[in-house]
Amino acid sequence: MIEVQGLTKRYGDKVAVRNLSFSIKPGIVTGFLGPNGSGKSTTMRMIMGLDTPTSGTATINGRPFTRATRPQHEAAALLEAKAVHPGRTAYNHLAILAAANGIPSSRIGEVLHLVGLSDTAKRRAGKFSLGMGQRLGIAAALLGDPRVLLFDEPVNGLDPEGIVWVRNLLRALAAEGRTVFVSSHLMEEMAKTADHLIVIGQGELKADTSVDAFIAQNSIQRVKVRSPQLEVLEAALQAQGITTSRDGETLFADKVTSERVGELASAHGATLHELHQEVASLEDAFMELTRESVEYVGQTGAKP
Amino acid sequence: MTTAETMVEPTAEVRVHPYSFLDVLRAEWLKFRTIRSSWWALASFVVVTIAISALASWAKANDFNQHHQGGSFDPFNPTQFSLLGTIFGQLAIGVLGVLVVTSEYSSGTIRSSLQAVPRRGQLFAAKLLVLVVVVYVVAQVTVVASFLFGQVLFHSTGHADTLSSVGVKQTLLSTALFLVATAIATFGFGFLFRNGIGAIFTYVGLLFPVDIIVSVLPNPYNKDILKFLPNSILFRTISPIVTPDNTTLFTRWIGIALMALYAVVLAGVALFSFLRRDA
Repeated sequence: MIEVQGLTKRYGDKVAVRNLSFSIKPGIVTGFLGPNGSGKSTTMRMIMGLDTPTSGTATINGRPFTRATRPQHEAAALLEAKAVHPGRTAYNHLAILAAANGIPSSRIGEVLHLVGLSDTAKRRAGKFSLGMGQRLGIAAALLGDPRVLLFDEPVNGLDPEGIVWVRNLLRALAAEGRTVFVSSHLMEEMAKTADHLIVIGQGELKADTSVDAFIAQNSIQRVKVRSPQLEVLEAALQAQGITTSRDGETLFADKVTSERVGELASAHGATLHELHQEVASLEDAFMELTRESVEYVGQTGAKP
Repeated sequence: MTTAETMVEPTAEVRVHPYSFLDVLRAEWLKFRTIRSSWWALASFVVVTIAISALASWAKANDFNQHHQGGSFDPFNPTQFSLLGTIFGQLAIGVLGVLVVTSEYSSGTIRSSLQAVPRRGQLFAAKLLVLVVVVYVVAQVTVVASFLFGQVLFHSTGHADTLSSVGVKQTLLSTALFLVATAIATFGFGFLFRNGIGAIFTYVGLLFPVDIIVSVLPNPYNKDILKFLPNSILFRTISPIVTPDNTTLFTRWIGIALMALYAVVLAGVALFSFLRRDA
Protein backbone atom coordinates (compact mmCIF):
# COMPACT_ATOMS: atom_id res chain seq x y z
CA MET A 1 0.00 0.00 0.00
CA ILE A 2 1.36 3.38 -1.03
CA GLU A 3 -0.28 6.53 0.29
CA VAL A 4 0.43 10.00 -0.97
CA GLN A 5 -1.11 13.02 0.78
CA GLY A 6 -0.91 16.57 -0.52
CA LEU A 7 2.48 15.84 -2.04
CA THR A 8 4.16 18.92 -3.49
CA LYS A 9 7.63 19.43 -4.91
CA ARG A 10 8.90 22.83 -5.86
CA TYR A 11 12.23 23.66 -7.49
CA GLY A 12 12.66 27.39 -7.04
CA ASP A 13 9.41 28.79 -8.43
CA LYS A 14 8.79 25.85 -10.74
CA VAL A 15 6.30 23.37 -9.34
CA ALA A 16 7.09 19.80 -10.40
CA VAL A 17 4.39 18.10 -8.35
CA ARG A 18 1.36 19.96 -7.00
CA ASN A 19 -0.77 18.73 -4.12
CA LEU A 20 -0.98 15.10 -5.24
CA SER A 21 -3.10 12.71 -3.19
CA PHE A 22 -3.82 9.09 -4.03
CA SER A 23 -3.42 5.61 -2.65
CA ILE A 24 -2.12 2.55 -4.46
CA LYS A 25 -3.68 -0.73 -3.42
CA PRO A 26 -2.07 -4.15 -3.29
CA GLY A 27 -3.10 -7.01 -5.56
CA ILE A 28 -3.51 -4.96 -8.71
CA VAL A 29 -1.27 -3.17 -11.19
CA THR A 30 -1.73 0.59 -10.94
CA GLY A 31 -0.54 2.59 -13.91
CA PHE A 32 0.97 6.03 -13.41
CA LEU A 33 0.30 7.84 -16.61
CA GLY A 34 1.46 11.25 -17.69
CA PRO A 35 3.43 12.95 -20.45
CA ASN A 36 7.19 13.19 -20.13
CA GLY A 37 8.07 15.87 -17.60
CA SER A 38 4.73 15.68 -15.80
CA GLY A 39 6.27 14.75 -12.45
CA LYS A 40 5.98 10.94 -12.45
CA SER A 41 9.64 10.27 -11.67
CA THR A 42 9.78 13.02 -9.05
CA THR A 43 6.73 11.53 -7.34
CA MET A 44 8.27 8.07 -7.34
CA ARG A 45 11.55 9.40 -5.94
CA MET A 46 9.66 11.12 -3.14
CA ILE A 47 7.81 7.88 -2.34
CA MET A 48 11.18 6.10 -2.11
CA GLY A 49 12.61 8.81 0.14
CA LEU A 50 15.22 9.91 -2.41
CA ASP A 51 13.78 13.41 -2.82
CA THR A 52 12.26 15.37 0.05
CA PRO A 53 8.79 16.77 -0.60
CA THR A 54 8.36 20.53 -0.25
CA SER A 55 5.14 19.65 1.56
CA GLY A 56 2.88 16.65 2.01
CA THR A 57 3.72 13.06 2.81
CA ALA A 58 4.31 9.77 1.04
CA THR A 59 4.18 6.52 2.99
CA ILE A 60 4.71 2.88 2.23
CA ASN A 61 2.70 0.52 4.43
CA GLY A 62 1.93 3.40 6.76
CA ARG A 63 5.34 4.94 7.30
CA PRO A 64 7.91 6.90 5.32
CA PHE A 65 10.26 4.58 3.46
CA THR A 66 13.27 6.19 5.15
CA ARG A 67 12.18 4.47 8.36
CA ALA A 68 11.99 0.98 6.84
CA THR A 69 13.76 -1.72 8.84
CA ARG A 70 13.80 -4.25 5.99
CA PRO A 71 14.01 -1.75 3.13
CA GLN A 72 14.32 -4.05 0.15
CA HIS A 73 11.66 -6.38 1.51
CA GLU A 74 9.23 -3.55 2.15
CA ALA A 75 9.60 -1.75 -1.18
CA ALA A 76 11.84 -1.59 -4.19
CA ALA A 77 11.86 0.63 -7.23
CA LEU A 78 13.29 0.47 -10.72
CA LEU A 79 13.82 4.16 -11.25
CA GLU A 80 16.28 4.47 -14.10
CA ALA A 81 17.86 2.15 -16.56
CA LYS A 82 21.49 1.22 -15.97
CA ALA A 83 21.99 2.66 -12.50
CA VAL A 84 24.94 0.29 -12.26
CA HIS A 85 28.64 1.03 -12.03
CA PRO A 86 29.95 0.17 -15.50
CA GLY A 87 32.99 -1.62 -14.07
CA ARG A 88 31.01 -3.98 -11.86
CA THR A 89 29.57 -7.29 -12.87
CA ALA A 90 25.83 -7.87 -12.68
CA TYR A 91 26.49 -10.42 -9.93
CA ASN A 92 28.52 -8.00 -7.81
CA HIS A 93 25.96 -5.23 -8.27
CA LEU A 94 23.31 -7.50 -6.79
CA ALA A 95 25.69 -8.92 -4.16
CA ILE A 96 26.23 -5.40 -2.77
CA LEU A 97 22.50 -4.75 -2.51
CA ALA A 98 21.93 -8.18 -0.96
CA ALA A 99 24.70 -7.63 1.60
CA ALA A 100 23.27 -4.26 2.63
CA ASN A 101 20.05 -5.87 3.82
CA GLY A 102 21.43 -9.24 4.91
CA ILE A 103 19.69 -11.03 2.05
CA PRO A 104 21.13 -14.56 1.52
CA SER A 105 23.40 -14.64 -1.52
CA SER A 106 21.48 -17.63 -2.92
CA ARG A 107 18.81 -15.10 -3.84
CA ILE A 108 21.18 -13.41 -6.33
CA GLY A 109 21.23 -16.42 -8.64
CA GLU A 110 17.46 -16.71 -8.37
CA VAL A 111 16.72 -13.18 -9.52
CA LEU A 112 19.38 -13.35 -12.25
CA HIS A 113 17.71 -16.49 -13.55
CA LEU A 114 14.31 -14.85 -13.25
CA VAL A 115 15.28 -11.97 -15.54
CA GLY A 116 17.29 -14.15 -17.89
CA LEU A 117 20.74 -12.79 -17.06
CA SER A 118 22.29 -15.96 -15.59
CA ASP A 119 24.73 -16.29 -18.49
CA THR A 120 25.88 -12.68 -18.27
CA ALA A 121 26.20 -12.48 -14.48
CA LYS A 122 30.00 -12.25 -14.60
CA ARG A 123 30.15 -9.61 -17.32
CA ARG A 124 30.78 -5.97 -16.58
CA ALA A 125 27.57 -3.98 -16.66
CA GLY A 126 29.21 -1.30 -18.82
CA LYS A 127 28.91 -3.71 -21.75
CA PHE A 128 25.17 -4.23 -21.22
CA SER A 129 22.56 -3.09 -23.71
CA LEU A 130 19.76 -0.84 -22.48
CA GLY A 131 17.45 -3.85 -22.39
CA MET A 132 19.90 -5.90 -20.32
CA GLY A 133 20.41 -2.94 -17.99
CA GLN A 134 16.64 -2.77 -17.57
CA ARG A 135 16.52 -6.50 -16.74
CA LEU A 136 19.31 -6.07 -14.20
CA GLY A 137 17.35 -3.20 -12.65
CA ILE A 138 14.32 -5.49 -12.39
CA ALA A 139 16.47 -8.20 -10.81
CA ALA A 140 17.70 -5.68 -8.24
CA ALA A 141 14.13 -4.63 -7.50
CA LEU A 142 13.05 -8.25 -6.91
CA LEU A 143 16.06 -9.11 -4.74
CA GLY A 144 14.41 -8.50 -1.36
CA ASP A 145 11.08 -10.12 -2.33
CA PRO A 146 9.38 -6.73 -1.87
CA ARG A 147 5.74 -6.21 -0.95
CA VAL A 148 5.63 -2.92 -2.84
CA LEU A 149 7.19 -2.37 -6.25
CA LEU A 150 7.60 0.81 -8.26
CA PHE A 151 8.68 0.76 -11.88
CA ASP A 152 9.49 3.94 -13.77
CA GLU A 153 9.03 3.35 -17.50
CA PRO A 154 10.15 -0.30 -17.27
CA VAL A 155 9.67 -1.16 -20.93
CA ASN A 156 11.96 1.60 -22.22
CA GLY A 157 14.63 0.05 -24.38
CA LEU A 158 13.05 -3.40 -24.43
CA ASP A 159 12.26 -5.32 -27.59
CA PRO A 160 8.62 -6.45 -28.18
CA GLU A 161 9.36 -9.79 -26.56
CA GLY A 162 10.80 -8.01 -23.52
CA ILE A 163 7.76 -5.75 -23.31
CA VAL A 164 5.45 -8.77 -23.15
CA TRP A 165 7.72 -10.31 -20.54
CA VAL A 166 7.61 -7.21 -18.32
CA ARG A 167 3.86 -6.95 -18.73
CA ASN A 168 3.40 -10.56 -17.61
CA LEU A 169 5.85 -10.11 -14.75
CA LEU A 170 4.02 -7.04 -13.43
CA ARG A 171 0.70 -8.86 -13.57
CA ALA A 172 2.17 -11.93 -11.86
CA LEU A 173 3.66 -9.78 -9.08
CA ALA A 174 0.31 -8.10 -8.48
CA ALA A 175 -1.50 -11.46 -8.56
CA GLU A 176 0.72 -12.53 -5.66
CA GLY A 177 -0.80 -9.73 -3.61
CA ARG A 178 1.97 -7.17 -4.02
CA THR A 179 1.44 -3.49 -4.63
CA VAL A 180 2.61 -2.69 -8.17
CA PHE A 181 2.89 0.91 -9.33
CA VAL A 182 4.21 1.41 -12.84
CA SER A 183 4.68 4.63 -14.76
CA SER A 184 4.43 5.14 -18.48
CA HIS A 185 3.80 7.89 -20.98
CA LEU A 186 2.06 5.40 -23.27
CA MET A 187 -1.65 4.88 -22.70
CA GLU A 188 -1.88 1.81 -24.94
CA GLU A 189 0.78 0.06 -22.87
CA MET A 190 -1.06 0.87 -19.65
CA ALA A 191 -4.37 -0.32 -21.07
CA LYS A 192 -2.76 -3.74 -21.56
CA THR A 193 -0.97 -3.88 -18.20
CA ALA A 194 -2.80 -1.93 -15.54
CA ASP A 195 -6.05 -2.43 -13.67
CA HIS A 196 -6.17 1.06 -12.22
CA LEU A 197 -4.83 4.38 -13.44
CA ILE A 198 -3.46 7.49 -11.85
CA VAL A 199 -3.16 10.15 -14.54
CA ILE A 200 -1.12 13.29 -13.94
CA GLY A 201 -0.33 16.26 -16.08
CA GLN A 202 1.71 19.29 -15.11
CA GLY A 203 2.28 17.71 -11.71
CA GLU A 204 -1.41 17.62 -10.92
CA LEU A 205 -3.82 14.73 -10.56
CA LYS A 206 -6.00 14.46 -13.67
CA ALA A 207 -7.70 11.12 -13.06
CA ASP A 208 -7.78 8.31 -10.49
CA THR A 209 -9.91 5.64 -12.05
CA SER A 210 -10.07 2.02 -13.13
CA VAL A 211 -8.76 1.29 -16.60
CA ASP A 212 -12.17 -0.05 -17.64
CA ALA A 213 -13.91 3.13 -16.51
CA PHE A 214 -11.29 5.25 -18.24
CA ILE A 215 -11.79 3.35 -21.48
CA ALA A 216 -15.59 3.53 -21.22
CA GLN A 217 -15.46 7.26 -20.56
CA ASN A 218 -12.89 8.14 -23.10
CA SER A 219 -13.14 5.81 -26.04
CA ILE A 220 -15.71 7.65 -28.12
CA GLN A 221 -17.39 5.40 -30.65
CA ARG A 222 -19.21 7.17 -33.43
CA VAL A 223 -20.42 6.39 -36.90
CA LYS A 224 -19.83 8.66 -39.87
CA VAL A 225 -22.62 8.60 -42.48
CA ARG A 226 -23.13 10.24 -45.87
CA SER A 227 -26.47 9.91 -47.59
CA PRO A 228 -28.67 11.87 -50.04
CA GLN A 229 -31.49 11.39 -47.48
CA LEU A 230 -29.53 12.78 -44.55
CA GLU A 231 -32.54 14.50 -42.91
CA VAL A 232 -34.56 11.27 -42.90
CA LEU A 233 -31.69 9.37 -41.36
CA GLU A 234 -31.01 12.08 -38.78
CA ALA A 235 -34.66 12.05 -37.66
CA ALA A 236 -34.66 8.23 -37.49
CA LEU A 237 -31.51 8.16 -35.33
CA GLN A 238 -32.76 10.87 -33.01
CA ALA A 239 -36.08 9.01 -32.67
CA GLN A 240 -34.00 6.13 -31.25
CA GLY A 241 -32.42 8.47 -28.70
CA ILE A 242 -29.08 8.58 -30.50
CA THR A 243 -27.15 11.83 -30.38
CA THR A 244 -26.15 13.14 -33.78
CA SER A 245 -24.20 16.03 -35.19
CA ARG A 246 -23.86 17.45 -38.69
CA ASP A 247 -20.80 18.65 -40.52
CA GLY A 248 -22.01 19.86 -43.93
CA GLU A 249 -23.11 16.78 -45.85
CA THR A 250 -21.75 14.41 -43.19
CA LEU A 251 -23.64 13.08 -40.19
CA PHE A 252 -22.05 11.70 -37.03
CA ALA A 253 -23.98 9.36 -34.73
CA ASP A 254 -22.48 8.95 -31.28
CA LYS A 255 -22.11 5.74 -29.26
CA VAL A 256 -23.68 3.47 -31.78
CA THR A 257 -22.46 0.70 -34.07
CA SER A 258 -22.34 0.91 -37.87
CA GLU A 259 -24.65 -2.16 -38.01
CA ARG A 260 -27.33 -0.27 -36.11
CA VAL A 261 -27.09 2.78 -38.37
CA GLY A 262 -27.13 0.57 -41.49
CA GLU A 263 -30.25 -1.23 -40.29
CA LEU A 264 -32.02 2.05 -39.51
CA ALA A 265 -31.08 3.44 -42.92
CA SER A 266 -32.49 0.33 -44.61
CA ALA A 267 -35.72 0.49 -42.56
CA HIS A 268 -36.25 4.12 -43.59
CA GLY A 269 -35.26 3.65 -47.21
CA ALA A 270 -32.21 5.91 -47.02
CA THR A 271 -29.41 5.31 -49.50
CA LEU A 272 -25.95 5.17 -47.96
CA HIS A 273 -22.93 6.69 -49.73
CA GLU A 274 -20.64 6.14 -46.79
CA LEU A 275 -20.89 4.28 -43.49
CA HIS A 276 -17.80 4.27 -41.28
CA GLN A 277 -17.19 3.29 -37.65
CA GLU A 278 -14.77 5.66 -35.93
CA VAL A 279 -13.02 4.69 -32.67
CA ALA A 280 -10.99 7.36 -30.92
CA SER A 281 -7.95 5.67 -29.49
CA LEU A 282 -7.10 5.68 -25.78
CA GLU A 283 -3.98 7.53 -26.74
CA ASP A 284 -6.18 10.35 -28.09
CA ALA A 285 -8.22 10.38 -24.88
CA PHE A 286 -5.07 10.57 -22.79
CA MET A 287 -3.61 13.33 -24.93
CA GLU A 288 -6.89 15.23 -24.63
CA LEU A 289 -6.81 14.91 -20.84
CA THR A 290 -3.24 16.12 -20.49
CA ARG A 291 -3.00 18.43 -23.48
CA GLU A 292 -2.88 21.64 -21.47
CA SER A 293 -0.16 20.18 -19.31
CA VAL A 294 2.01 19.31 -22.26
CA GLU A 295 1.70 22.83 -23.65
CA TYR A 296 2.38 24.33 -20.25
CA VAL A 297 5.53 22.26 -19.80
CA GLY A 298 6.66 23.32 -23.26
CA GLN A 299 6.35 27.00 -22.51
CA THR A 300 7.96 27.20 -19.10
CA GLY A 301 11.24 25.90 -17.87
CA ALA A 302 13.09 29.17 -18.13
CA LYS A 303 14.32 28.70 -14.58
CA PRO A 304 15.98 25.38 -13.87
CA MET B 1 17.45 -13.46 -23.24
CA THR B 2 14.56 -15.39 -21.91
CA THR B 3 11.04 -15.46 -23.19
CA ALA B 4 7.85 -14.82 -21.28
CA GLU B 5 7.52 -18.57 -20.66
CA THR B 6 10.64 -18.82 -18.53
CA MET B 7 9.11 -16.61 -15.86
CA VAL B 8 9.56 -18.29 -12.53
CA GLU B 9 7.68 -17.48 -9.37
CA PRO B 10 9.28 -14.32 -8.04
CA THR B 11 8.35 -15.38 -4.51
CA ALA B 12 11.02 -17.86 -3.66
CA GLU B 13 10.66 -17.59 0.13
CA VAL B 14 13.29 -15.04 1.07
CA ARG B 15 14.26 -14.66 4.70
CA VAL B 16 14.81 -10.99 5.34
CA HIS B 17 15.80 -9.73 8.78
CA PRO B 18 15.94 -6.13 9.88
CA TYR B 19 19.25 -4.85 8.58
CA SER B 20 22.11 -3.79 10.81
CA PHE B 21 25.04 -1.41 10.46
CA LEU B 22 27.25 -4.47 9.99
CA ASP B 23 25.27 -5.39 6.85
CA VAL B 24 25.80 -1.88 5.50
CA LEU B 25 29.53 -2.10 6.27
CA ARG B 26 29.77 -5.42 4.46
CA ALA B 27 28.05 -3.89 1.41
CA GLU B 28 30.35 -0.87 1.42
CA TRP B 29 33.43 -3.08 1.64
CA LEU B 30 32.17 -5.12 -1.30
CA LYS B 31 31.49 -1.89 -3.19
CA PHE B 32 35.02 -0.68 -2.50
CA ARG B 33 36.55 -3.95 -3.65
CA THR B 34 34.54 -4.22 -6.86
CA ILE B 35 35.58 -1.02 -8.57
CA ARG B 36 38.93 -0.90 -10.29
CA SER B 37 39.59 2.74 -9.49
CA SER B 38 39.93 1.88 -5.77
CA TRP B 39 42.79 -0.48 -6.53
CA TRP B 40 44.37 1.86 -9.08
CA ALA B 41 44.41 4.69 -6.55
CA LEU B 42 45.90 2.50 -3.81
CA ALA B 43 48.50 1.00 -6.15
CA SER B 44 49.47 4.48 -7.39
CA PHE B 45 49.88 5.65 -3.82
CA VAL B 46 52.15 2.74 -2.89
CA VAL B 47 54.30 2.93 -6.02
CA VAL B 48 54.61 6.72 -6.15
CA THR B 49 55.39 7.05 -2.44
CA ILE B 50 58.04 4.35 -2.33
CA ALA B 51 59.59 5.18 -5.73
CA ILE B 52 59.92 8.92 -5.16
CA SER B 53 61.17 8.44 -1.60
CA ALA B 54 63.75 5.94 -2.85
CA LEU B 55 64.86 8.29 -5.62
CA ALA B 56 65.27 11.18 -3.17
CA SER B 57 67.13 9.01 -0.64
CA TRP B 58 69.41 7.52 -3.26
CA ALA B 59 70.27 10.97 -4.64
CA LYS B 60 70.96 12.36 -1.17
CA ALA B 61 73.08 9.35 -0.18
CA ASN B 62 75.14 9.69 -3.35
CA ASP B 63 75.60 13.41 -2.85
CA PHE B 64 76.65 12.86 0.75
CA ASN B 65 79.13 10.13 -0.12
CA GLN B 66 80.76 12.29 -2.80
CA HIS B 67 81.12 15.46 -0.80
CA HIS B 68 81.59 14.30 2.74
CA GLN B 69 83.87 11.31 2.42
CA GLY B 70 85.79 11.50 5.65
CA GLY B 71 85.00 15.21 5.93
CA SER B 72 82.90 17.11 8.39
CA PHE B 73 79.34 15.94 8.97
CA ASP B 74 76.71 18.15 7.37
CA PRO B 75 73.52 17.03 9.14
CA PHE B 76 70.67 15.74 6.99
CA ASN B 77 67.33 14.15 7.76
CA PRO B 78 67.33 10.54 6.50
CA THR B 79 63.78 9.81 7.72
CA GLN B 80 62.36 12.84 5.94
CA PHE B 81 64.10 11.88 2.70
CA SER B 82 62.72 8.35 2.93
CA LEU B 83 59.17 9.75 3.22
CA LEU B 84 59.35 12.57 0.67
CA GLY B 85 57.31 10.50 -1.79
CA THR B 86 54.22 10.98 0.39
CA ILE B 87 54.01 14.56 -0.87
CA PHE B 88 53.11 13.08 -4.26
CA GLY B 89 51.50 9.90 -2.96
CA GLN B 90 48.95 11.91 -0.97
CA LEU B 91 47.33 12.88 -4.28
CA ALA B 92 46.33 9.27 -4.94
CA ILE B 93 44.80 9.03 -1.47
CA GLY B 94 42.92 12.28 -2.04
CA VAL B 95 41.62 11.02 -5.37
CA LEU B 96 40.55 7.75 -3.72
CA GLY B 97 38.53 9.64 -1.10
CA VAL B 98 36.74 11.54 -3.86
CA LEU B 99 36.13 8.51 -6.08
CA VAL B 100 34.50 6.26 -3.48
CA VAL B 101 31.76 8.90 -3.35
CA THR B 102 31.55 10.30 -6.86
CA SER B 103 31.57 6.88 -8.55
CA GLU B 104 28.13 6.40 -6.94
CA TYR B 105 26.87 9.65 -8.38
CA SER B 106 28.34 9.26 -11.87
CA SER B 107 26.88 5.77 -12.24
CA GLY B 108 23.58 6.53 -10.53
CA THR B 109 24.07 3.74 -7.99
CA ILE B 110 23.53 6.23 -5.17
CA ARG B 111 19.80 5.82 -5.84
CA SER B 112 19.93 2.04 -5.49
CA SER B 113 22.25 2.33 -2.48
CA LEU B 114 19.73 4.60 -0.75
CA GLN B 115 16.90 2.23 -1.54
CA ALA B 116 18.79 -0.54 0.23
CA VAL B 117 19.90 1.76 3.05
CA PRO B 118 17.40 4.62 3.30
CA ARG B 119 18.98 5.91 6.51
CA ARG B 120 21.56 8.17 4.96
CA GLY B 121 23.65 8.66 8.07
CA GLN B 122 24.32 4.92 8.15
CA LEU B 123 25.33 4.81 4.51
CA PHE B 124 27.65 7.78 5.01
CA ALA B 125 29.22 6.31 8.15
CA ALA B 126 29.77 2.86 6.65
CA LYS B 127 31.32 4.27 3.49
CA LEU B 128 33.62 6.53 5.53
CA LEU B 129 34.62 3.78 7.93
CA VAL B 130 35.63 1.44 5.10
CA LEU B 131 37.69 4.23 3.54
CA VAL B 132 39.39 5.16 6.82
CA VAL B 133 40.36 1.57 7.69
CA VAL B 134 41.65 0.77 4.20
CA VAL B 135 43.61 4.02 3.92
CA TYR B 136 45.10 3.67 7.39
CA VAL B 137 46.27 0.09 6.83
CA VAL B 138 47.68 0.73 3.35
CA ALA B 139 49.24 4.05 4.34
CA GLN B 140 50.85 2.70 7.51
CA VAL B 141 52.39 -0.28 5.73
CA THR B 142 53.56 1.88 2.82
CA VAL B 143 55.07 4.55 5.05
CA VAL B 144 57.00 1.96 7.09
CA ALA B 145 58.18 0.22 3.91
CA SER B 146 59.23 3.51 2.37
CA PHE B 147 61.15 4.40 5.54
CA LEU B 148 62.91 1.03 5.73
CA PHE B 149 63.84 1.04 2.05
CA GLY B 150 65.15 4.60 2.34
CA GLN B 151 67.32 3.67 5.30
CA VAL B 152 68.82 0.78 3.33
CA LEU B 153 69.83 3.36 0.72
CA PHE B 154 71.33 5.56 3.42
CA HIS B 155 73.28 2.66 4.94
CA SER B 156 76.46 3.58 2.98
CA THR B 157 76.47 7.04 4.57
CA GLY B 158 76.65 5.63 8.05
CA HIS B 159 73.87 8.03 9.11
CA ALA B 160 70.74 5.92 8.48
CA ASP B 161 67.93 6.16 11.05
CA THR B 162 66.38 3.12 12.66
CA LEU B 163 62.86 2.53 13.95
CA SER B 164 64.15 3.40 17.41
CA SER B 165 65.82 6.68 16.41
CA VAL B 166 64.39 9.78 18.06
CA GLY B 167 60.88 10.65 16.80
CA VAL B 168 60.80 7.99 14.06
CA LYS B 169 57.89 5.98 15.40
CA GLN B 170 55.82 9.14 15.92
CA THR B 171 56.74 10.25 12.39
CA LEU B 172 55.61 6.99 10.81
CA LEU B 173 52.34 6.98 12.76
CA SER B 174 51.50 10.64 12.17
CA THR B 175 52.30 10.42 8.45
CA ALA B 176 49.74 7.62 8.08
CA LEU B 177 47.25 9.69 10.12
CA PHE B 178 47.84 12.69 7.87
CA LEU B 179 46.91 10.53 4.88
CA VAL B 180 43.76 9.29 6.65
CA ALA B 181 42.76 12.91 7.32
CA THR B 182 43.34 13.68 3.63
CA ALA B 183 41.03 10.84 2.61
CA ILE B 184 38.29 12.02 5.00
CA ALA B 185 38.54 15.58 3.72
CA THR B 186 38.33 14.61 0.05
CA PHE B 187 35.50 12.18 0.87
CA GLY B 188 33.70 15.32 2.04
CA PHE B 189 34.54 17.11 -1.23
CA GLY B 190 33.06 14.13 -3.06
CA PHE B 191 29.68 14.54 -1.37
CA LEU B 192 29.73 18.31 -1.76
CA PHE B 193 30.58 18.27 -5.46
CA ARG B 194 29.04 14.90 -6.45
CA ASN B 195 31.36 15.13 -9.41
CA GLY B 196 34.84 13.65 -9.55
CA ILE B 197 36.43 16.33 -11.72
CA GLY B 198 35.15 19.22 -9.59
CA ALA B 199 36.14 17.62 -6.31
CA ILE B 200 39.61 16.53 -7.46
CA PHE B 201 40.28 19.90 -9.08
CA THR B 202 39.40 21.70 -5.86
CA TYR B 203 41.50 19.37 -3.73
CA VAL B 204 44.60 19.57 -5.92
CA GLY B 205 44.09 23.30 -6.33
CA LEU B 206 44.11 23.82 -2.58
CA LEU B 207 47.23 21.71 -2.31
CA PHE B 208 49.63 23.14 -4.89
CA PRO B 209 48.83 26.51 -6.49
CA VAL B 210 47.81 27.89 -3.09
CA ASP B 211 51.24 27.01 -1.69
CA ILE B 212 52.94 28.96 -4.44
CA ILE B 213 50.65 31.97 -4.18
CA VAL B 214 51.07 32.15 -0.40
CA SER B 215 54.85 31.75 -0.51
CA VAL B 216 55.27 34.86 -2.67
CA LEU B 217 53.36 37.02 -0.18
CA PRO B 218 55.56 39.41 1.86
CA ASN B 219 57.15 38.20 5.07
CA PRO B 220 55.88 37.36 7.69
CA TYR B 221 52.37 36.92 6.21
CA ASN B 222 53.54 34.09 4.01
CA LYS B 223 54.90 32.10 6.94
CA ASP B 224 51.80 32.78 9.04
CA ILE B 225 49.49 31.45 6.35
CA LEU B 226 51.81 28.78 4.98
CA LYS B 227 51.88 26.81 8.21
CA PHE B 228 48.11 26.20 7.96
CA LEU B 229 48.39 24.55 4.54
CA PRO B 230 48.37 20.75 4.26
CA ASN B 231 51.69 20.56 2.42
CA SER B 232 53.46 22.45 5.21
CA ILE B 233 51.90 20.18 7.78
CA LEU B 234 52.98 17.10 5.83
CA PHE B 235 56.51 18.46 5.40
CA ARG B 236 56.78 18.85 9.17
CA THR B 237 55.03 15.52 9.84
CA ILE B 238 57.60 13.46 7.90
CA SER B 239 60.47 14.95 9.89
CA PRO B 240 61.22 13.20 13.19
CA ILE B 241 63.08 16.23 14.56
CA VAL B 242 62.90 20.00 14.57
CA THR B 243 65.26 21.36 11.90
CA PRO B 244 66.03 24.92 10.76
CA ASP B 245 63.70 24.58 7.75
CA ASN B 246 60.66 23.65 9.82
CA THR B 247 60.95 25.86 12.90
CA THR B 248 58.30 28.27 11.57
CA LEU B 249 55.81 25.41 11.11
CA PHE B 250 53.37 23.96 13.61
CA THR B 251 54.73 21.10 15.67
CA ARG B 252 53.81 17.57 14.67
CA TRP B 253 50.72 16.99 16.79
CA ILE B 254 49.34 20.48 16.38
CA GLY B 255 49.66 19.99 12.63
CA ILE B 256 47.91 16.62 12.79
CA ALA B 257 45.18 18.11 15.00
CA LEU B 258 44.70 20.84 12.40
CA MET B 259 44.40 18.25 9.62
CA ALA B 260 41.88 16.38 11.76
CA LEU B 261 39.94 19.61 12.17
CA TYR B 262 39.88 20.19 8.40
CA ALA B 263 38.74 16.63 7.85
CA VAL B 264 36.00 16.75 10.48
CA VAL B 265 34.67 20.09 9.26
CA LEU B 266 34.57 18.95 5.62
CA ALA B 267 33.02 15.58 6.46
CA GLY B 268 30.50 17.29 8.76
CA VAL B 269 29.41 19.78 6.11
CA ALA B 270 29.24 16.91 3.60
CA LEU B 271 27.04 14.84 5.93
CA PHE B 272 24.75 17.81 6.53
CA SER B 273 24.42 18.30 2.78
CA PHE B 274 23.91 14.57 2.11
CA LEU B 275 21.12 14.38 4.70
CA ARG B 276 19.25 17.33 3.23
CA ARG B 277 19.77 17.33 -0.51
CA ASP B 278 17.74 15.25 -2.95
CA ALA B 279 19.68 12.20 -4.07
